[in-house]
Amino acid sequence: MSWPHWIVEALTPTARELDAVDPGADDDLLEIAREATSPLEDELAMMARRPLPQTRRSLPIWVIPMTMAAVAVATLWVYWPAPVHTDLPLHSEIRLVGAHHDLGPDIDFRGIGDIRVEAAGIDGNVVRVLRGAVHFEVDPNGLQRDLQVLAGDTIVEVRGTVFDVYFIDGHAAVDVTRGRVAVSGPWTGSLVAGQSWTEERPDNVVIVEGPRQPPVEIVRIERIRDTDSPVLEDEEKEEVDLALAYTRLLDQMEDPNVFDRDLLRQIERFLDDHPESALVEDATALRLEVESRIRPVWQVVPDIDAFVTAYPKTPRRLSLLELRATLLRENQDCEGALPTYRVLASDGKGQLKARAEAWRGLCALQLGKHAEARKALATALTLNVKHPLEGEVRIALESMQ
Amino acid sequence: MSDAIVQLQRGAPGALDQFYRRHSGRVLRWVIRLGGPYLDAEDVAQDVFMVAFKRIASFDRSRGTEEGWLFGVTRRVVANARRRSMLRRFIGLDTLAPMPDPGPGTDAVVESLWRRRQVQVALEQLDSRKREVLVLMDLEEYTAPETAAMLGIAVGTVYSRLHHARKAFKAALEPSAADLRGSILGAT
Repeated sequence: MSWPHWIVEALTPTARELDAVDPGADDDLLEIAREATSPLEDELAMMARRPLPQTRRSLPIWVIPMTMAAVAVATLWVYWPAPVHTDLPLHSEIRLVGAHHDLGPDIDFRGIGDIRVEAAGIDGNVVRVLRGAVHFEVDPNGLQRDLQVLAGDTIVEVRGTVFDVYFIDGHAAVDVTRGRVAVSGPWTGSLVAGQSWTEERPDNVVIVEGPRQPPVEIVRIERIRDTDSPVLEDEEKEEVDLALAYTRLLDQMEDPNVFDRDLLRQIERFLDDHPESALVEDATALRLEVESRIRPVWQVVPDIDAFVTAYPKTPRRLSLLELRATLLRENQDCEGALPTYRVLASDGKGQLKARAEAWRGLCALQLGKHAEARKALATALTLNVKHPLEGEVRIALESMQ
Repeated sequence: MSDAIVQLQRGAPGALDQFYRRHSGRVLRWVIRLGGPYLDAEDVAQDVFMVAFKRIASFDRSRGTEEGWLFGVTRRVVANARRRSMLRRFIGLDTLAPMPDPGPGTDAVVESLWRRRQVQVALEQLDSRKREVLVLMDLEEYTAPETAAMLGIAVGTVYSRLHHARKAFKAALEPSAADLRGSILGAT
């Protein structure tokens, strides 16, 4: 809420009132300072004569946020952790209409028809096909891969395979795509990849030999999103909301109208609203970046250390360490920055390594560690990577000859 | 006034030029006052406009004035330029060129530049937060609420920073105050 300007004006102290309570102002000196730091006529004329700065025509404002949103949604789509337990209700009939379902973390199935889940969990999974055709995919490496499929009197037992079970008009059929299944009931035997069995002629079992396929190692069955289930729609909506909220933050980071303090508040709100989300690490890293601009070094550096400890495998580790070293160095604390530059020089690659070696050398030089300085500066030059400190490094190295 | 920036956002011909002419003096002055003695104020002011033109689409009148927005851009560009300059100084590539003391018969421009140097060196001794408040309130003569809005801080904070900034500035400028006064009187 903003007050009308006349209220603000009425409540704002005048310069005289301010001077009365704050005698620190020296009008005379301020006038001199004002005059001394005003541009000269020549400078103003020069500015006016300068050609207008050229800038590329930028893309429409919505392109970048929308692109980022699309990338974020795609990333979430691919990396969202798979649910570890199915929500399919036990002992109730479920109609399959082509959608994918998970039964525990290791069994995925889809089909057309009706099924009933009779058991689910680490002790085994049992699915009864009441009607229709169901395609099963079982992860052979999973802990919860034991599956029994019942179709009429037929029992199909598997441990990691891909196969179809049909139960149409009271007759069962099994079709194996990959791996091996054990069938019992009207007919007992096993089927391997490429073979099928049908109950239509139980006395005259027909084993159809398909092309023999080599056994395939299934490392992980890729999940395909269920776009029909209402539960997943909610999840998807949450993902999109999360991605949009994060994208808004990224957008704000680029916006010169947004003050860092407001930005920090928004990032903290995002972290409060989504404490368990997959983007906590990213948002925390953003917070550190903003904090580094407005908070004193002694507050930010421990936060960076805590972040790197909390997320030891974070891909941002090196960039945050570089931020840490830069903050310390800019605070004239080369002694604090040097160990971090050593880590960066040893773990970094390319441009980052070159920068780290250069700064390591310059900091060591400032601290009087000439041997380390010479070695680091020489390394920075031999890395054969163009970087903005190259000229400075050469000069520093020459000065030590 | 409001039409100009809207036209600029729409890419109207001539709007860019109009915006530049209107603000170039002000931006140059901000850069001189915030940037310190090591920066080439004209170059940095050009950079400010380059960034401003690039970001013009993000200006939102409901969130502040045109001037406040431009000051925000200036602040960030100056901060980057200062960082680069500090790097060069750190490794000894940038030093302040010696400036002769103004004596009788010295060129007026040299005298002005000498005075500017003294004030900039004094401003350099303030940390950036105090410097910004002092520049906006005492040199640019904005009111405290305007300054607070431009810096995104509370009005109370502005007063508190101003109090400390004035004390620090006065202490920093005191040694050369007599010479400065003499120089001004000589010039007039």
